[in-house]
Amino acid sequence: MNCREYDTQIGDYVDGTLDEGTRTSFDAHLSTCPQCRAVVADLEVIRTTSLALEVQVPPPHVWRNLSAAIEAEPRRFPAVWGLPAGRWWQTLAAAATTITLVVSLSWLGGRLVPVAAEPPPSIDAEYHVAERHLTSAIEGLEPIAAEDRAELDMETRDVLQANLDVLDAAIGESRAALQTEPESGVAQESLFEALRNKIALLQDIIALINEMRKGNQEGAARIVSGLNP
Amino acid sequence: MDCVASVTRPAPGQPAAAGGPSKPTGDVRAVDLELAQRCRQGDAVAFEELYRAHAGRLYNLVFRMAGSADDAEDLLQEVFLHAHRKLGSFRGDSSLGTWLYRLAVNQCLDVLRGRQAKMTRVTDSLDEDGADEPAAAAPRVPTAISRIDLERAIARLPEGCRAAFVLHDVEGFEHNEVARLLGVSEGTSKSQVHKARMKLRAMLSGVTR
Repeated sequence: MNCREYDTQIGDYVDGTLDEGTRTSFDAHLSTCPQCRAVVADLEVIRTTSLALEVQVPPPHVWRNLSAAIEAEPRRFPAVWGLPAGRWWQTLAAAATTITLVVSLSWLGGRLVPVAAEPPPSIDAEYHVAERHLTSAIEGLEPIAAEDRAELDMETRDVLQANLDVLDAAIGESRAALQTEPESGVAQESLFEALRNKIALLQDIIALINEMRKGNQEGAARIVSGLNP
Repeated sequence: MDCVASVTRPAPGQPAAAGGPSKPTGDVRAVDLELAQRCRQGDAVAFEELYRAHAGRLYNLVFRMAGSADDAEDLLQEVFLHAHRKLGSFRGDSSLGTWLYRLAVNQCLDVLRGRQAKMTRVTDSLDEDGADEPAAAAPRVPTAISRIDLERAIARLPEGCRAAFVLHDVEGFEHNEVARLLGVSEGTSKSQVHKARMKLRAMLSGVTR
């Protein structure tokens, strides 16, 4: 073998991952080839120094900026935890109530903002593309979530359906509002929020069905408890 | 508030504990799930606990992947903001450390890909330098290179091979783990690491102490 052929094995040689036979052959080559010997020695220095690079510590202001950014994030509703398996419907019912509240409050809150204070952005192509994207995601998920929902017990199914109905109603209301006020930024936001919530719920339903198929009660309970509007 | 995150790194040649693909043990899983649960419930103290436990390790990764402290700080913040939003999807299938590490790698890759066009120029210029060629008469790398010189050289590596190099040679992952994290084949990981080492050799050959 020549240097070119050994070149493909240098990495493994430096890492110590060559098998014994190949390593012996490589060693024999190195004993007669000063060029390859130099490459190996250099790569070993680089490897050893790399593993010993100084540990970097993030400066304190990173946490300060991060905690401020999190503080500014929209509040997420805390999930309900620790429910025993088989009592998911209670969590789901709570989630349904929360969804109703979120949608109603966000819509009501939006309506109370004086329009003159902050003119809403005009509807543009970007908005339509985003809506199409979200709607298309829902259309892709819906048949998957609907197909196997029969595997869930009736109570769970009913509550999930109630959740979906609430979101569909919110989507319908937002769309109706956009018909009358096509440039309302609040209505656009409400629509996007409802569409995103529906996607998240459909994804959770699919994950829940998968966990139940696997017989993973704990995993299923965790999904249900994590349902977050 | 001061950040005094505990920073651990794998022993040379050992997979990194936080980033490795192994399943969490029962105790770790329970602790992680409990912490994630508290974070999801809006417990700010829990989130700070999460940050302090993992920020150090993630900062080391993003610092070297990004190539500068400023970018690393922005990236670290983005990683934790993303984690804050996504904690609901944490199911405990892997440890919280692994889950965060993957988020960080993906975040870095997104940023690096965004810089691709700019970096193509750098890659080309390094390729033109013949950094991959066997250095028959090239000056040797000093037997003891300074860490600062090495850090600078790593920051100058093309984005693609830098990611593989950082994960393998700095973070201590095996090639199969690097491949999984980067979504490439093990062979690609090996060739990228080798390419990076040869470029570093070319860059460091002219350095004297």
